Amino acid sequence: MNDELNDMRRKYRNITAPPALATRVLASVPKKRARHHGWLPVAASLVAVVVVIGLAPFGLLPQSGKSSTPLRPSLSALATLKPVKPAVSAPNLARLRSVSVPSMPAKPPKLLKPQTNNPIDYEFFKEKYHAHI
Amino acid sequence: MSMDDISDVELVREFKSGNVHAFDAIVRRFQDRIFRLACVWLYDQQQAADVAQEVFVRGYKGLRSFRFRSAPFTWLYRTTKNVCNEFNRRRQSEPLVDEPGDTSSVPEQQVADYDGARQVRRLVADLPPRQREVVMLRIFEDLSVKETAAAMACREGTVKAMLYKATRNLKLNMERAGLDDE
Repeated sequence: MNDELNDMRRKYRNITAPPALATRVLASVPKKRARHHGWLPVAASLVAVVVVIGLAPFGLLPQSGKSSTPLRPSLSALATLKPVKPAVSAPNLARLRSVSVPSMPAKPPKLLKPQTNNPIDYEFFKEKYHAHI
Repeated sequence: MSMDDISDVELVREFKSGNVHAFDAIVRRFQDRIFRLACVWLYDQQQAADVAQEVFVRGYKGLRSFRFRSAPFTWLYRTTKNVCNEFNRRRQSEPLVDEPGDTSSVPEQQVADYDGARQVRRLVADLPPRQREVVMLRIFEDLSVKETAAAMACREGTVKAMLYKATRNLKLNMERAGLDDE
């Protein structure tokens, strides 16, 4: 069995790929490796900056005479401005005092018999005291 | 140091780092093994070449994200298996042991190759699929038990057990074939 298997193994290992296979494979994969596109955002932002710088003078130039848009205020003019506080009406104290309040209920009548707040039986202590003498 | 002298892992590392010659070296290094496996698993050599081509095209895309958790050949082997299964699914109705067609127009070497592949295919055709895989990797491709286990995604003990059963079955098959010949 081993001889047969070895013979078969030898034949198997003699199998080689067709010579054109490598060429076929290399022809079917893309020639260039996929490029890294990490530079794209940088380039895009650079282009945007260039465009802004290039067009800004035209956009920011004040148009003579008939400009419909008001001029931009300068920083010094902005600094002199005071914030406008919203008007808040003060509360009317006279009206608050005139609010009617319901009267308090009548007090309960006082008890006629005086009551002791200490209901301890003092006689008990007296007896005890005598017992120890 | 040329590309042919470095290890498989280093070669893939070179490819990942953007070396344009590394992929050529990968193809040259693995094309025979991939083609042989495809010859056994498929029906004719033309298809085997197509499979090998497809495997390397997938490898060109897939090996860039290779994480080196296994050997590069393991990755290529699994891809080969998947592609062969896809090809076979299209021809499910045909039996695995297939007689060659007209080979008068193909070169002598290819006929010999086909004959070798056909013998191996006949030998392993009656084995269960997993045992067939073990025989192909361990006996014919000469991988270690560890590499075979990695390629088949199982334990080394499983490989040994399956190899034992497969060898016993192969012996029985060969004895039966010998009796049939007589």
